[in-house]
Amino acid sequence: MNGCYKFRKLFTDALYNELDPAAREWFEEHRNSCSLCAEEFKKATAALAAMDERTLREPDESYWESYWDKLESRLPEAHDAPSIWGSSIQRLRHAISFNPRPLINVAAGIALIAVGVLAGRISMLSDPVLVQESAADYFQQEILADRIDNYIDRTKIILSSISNIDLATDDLFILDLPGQRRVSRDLIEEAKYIREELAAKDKDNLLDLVLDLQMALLWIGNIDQENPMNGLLLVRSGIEQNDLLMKITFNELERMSQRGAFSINQ
Amino acid sequence: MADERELIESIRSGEKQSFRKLVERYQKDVYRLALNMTGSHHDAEDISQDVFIKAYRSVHSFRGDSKLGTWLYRVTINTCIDKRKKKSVSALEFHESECMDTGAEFYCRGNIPRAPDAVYEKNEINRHVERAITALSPRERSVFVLRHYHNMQVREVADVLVVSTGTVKSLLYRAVRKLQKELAFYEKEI
Repeated sequence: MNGCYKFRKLFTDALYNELDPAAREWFEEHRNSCSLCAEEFKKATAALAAMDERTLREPDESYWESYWDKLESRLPEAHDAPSIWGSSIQRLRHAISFNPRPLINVAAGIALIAVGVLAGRISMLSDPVLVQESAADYFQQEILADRIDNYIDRTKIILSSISNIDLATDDLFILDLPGQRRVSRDLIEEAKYIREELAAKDKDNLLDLVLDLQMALLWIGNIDQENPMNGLLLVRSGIEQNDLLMKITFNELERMSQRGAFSINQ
Repeated sequence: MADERELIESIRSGEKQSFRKLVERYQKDVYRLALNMTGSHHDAEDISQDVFIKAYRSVHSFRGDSKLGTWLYRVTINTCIDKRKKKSVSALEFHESECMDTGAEFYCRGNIPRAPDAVYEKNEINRHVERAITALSPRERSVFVLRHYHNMQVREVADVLVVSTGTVKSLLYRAVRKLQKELAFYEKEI
């Protein structure tokens, strides 16, 4: 976890080749040992490569030759350009050219509230320790959210494949049970970490889902390879009785709404 | 820096030719930044001229704490964000209604381009990239454009946007994450 957190902190510097040799060495070492981080970095590199494909045509020299002439015609005359005092006097004149009393009363009230809020925020933001902590917290939450998404998505694939297979007619070979068991065990380890993190953050609904899925993964991990049918039936009935796939769908919808996918503006 | 100070003093005293010198020194940089922020030649043209008019009007308030270029970049970013706010149509509609650069020629909406496959493909990628950029918030876009297309160091970006380097890194990270989601299809082609 600490390694992944450090990796994310170095992420953008690494993307732009700005790591010092020691950091670069550590970064590469972690990338080679953590598939999640390696995948993340690969995706980001691909995205930046795509952004390099952006072509915006810039105007030729003839455009620049006439640029000043066009601009000059829009420039205020030198004597019109407001000085510090000039602009202040103008603003004052404008302010007293109508009856400002009702507006001033409202504005004063709003300003008082705004100053209070602003003072609070500034006092927090000006504290370098707090700023650092909030940035660190942000990265940590991002990493956790990614790991949860990954955990749920991968578990969904396993559960769906077991739910969708026709146990009467399909060849169980297509399930790749040894592979499913191996991945399930990895995911169980991941679930332990996620549960600890979620418990500390009081996210009970998500914690329940992670726990339910962990239970299903345990069933899968314990399926007898020699005689898998009973185990598979047990897993399927567990998935159905606990509405696991529906719970995953609800979680997906929640994630989409949090990311603004349902926003009216979009 | 001394040269810049002299230039500023001269403009403050009403020397239009000195202002012309300033414009000629920075016009391409300001235009390019506006173009990268908006993706539109017409907007970049309007914005760059607005930036210089603002600079001319407020040159007295330039205290010289930062470099002239940094100050102009800041004004450009703010003008781009203001312009975006004022636009009533969405950024995407806006791009599609504009003339588009295929890399080989300009063509406008309504004209069917007779472009060879390679040009069409490049244009497709360009459209995806533009769409991905519109997914970024103004602050994310500012950071990304300055860092990625203007090769500014994190410290320089922080100076332009008057934020901490930590904030720049955080915004850059968010921007890259959003772009990678928007351009996920591209990963397979790499």
